[in-house]
Amino acid sequence: MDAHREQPVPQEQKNVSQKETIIQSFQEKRLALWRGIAEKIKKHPDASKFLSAAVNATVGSYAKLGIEAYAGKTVDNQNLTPLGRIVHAFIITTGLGAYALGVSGRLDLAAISYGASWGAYGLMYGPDLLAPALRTAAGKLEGKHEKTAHLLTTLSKVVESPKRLFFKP
Amino acid sequence: MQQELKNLIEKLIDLGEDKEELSFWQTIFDDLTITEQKELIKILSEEIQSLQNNKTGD
Repeated sequence: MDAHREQPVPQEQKNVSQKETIIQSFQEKRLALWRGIAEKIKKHPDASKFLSAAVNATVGSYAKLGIEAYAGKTVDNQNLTPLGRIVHAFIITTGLGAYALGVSGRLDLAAISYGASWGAYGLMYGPDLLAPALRTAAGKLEGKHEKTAHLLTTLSKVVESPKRLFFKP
Repeated sequence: MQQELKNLIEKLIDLGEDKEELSFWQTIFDDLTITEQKELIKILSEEIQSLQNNKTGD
């Protein structure tokens, strides 16, 4: 048999590949919907204020964000699961990633987007950082903005999930 | 709409979608606006259609 002749791709393999493409494209649509929701939270005068303050209080209780521990690590869609992308999109869209970096004092990091990536990694992997901040903000919003409060509470439970659910092996 | 969502999610998981991500949407569904809920239902329904069409292309 001619070794240089391309072997035809079995139909089953083509369908699996198409299936993955379809799934990824619809996950992207849901992520776009979620970014819109996170953007609303960012623009919500009370939610944004309470969330930033809660992150400030939470991150501030650590001497450093432990940035050095995350040196060289970045967060991007390539290494995240669909649930991980939801958490990451929330941190980036609401600006918490960059905010956490600012509070940690590491403004020397090159660009906000890169810094936000580290901050996001720290918030996603850091011990008890984002979940308490979300619960604190949710508590402040209860009674006045129930749905946003409930959403932040739900998110706080999600970020307490085992971290292996956010990052691809 | 909650029951409709549940049915769509079950079908999608059977078709190979990510269970954790879809469970998250199920949990926050009631906190979304009507517009957001309808948009989510639309996305999920279209995905089922696409995946089923892909299957029947065997």
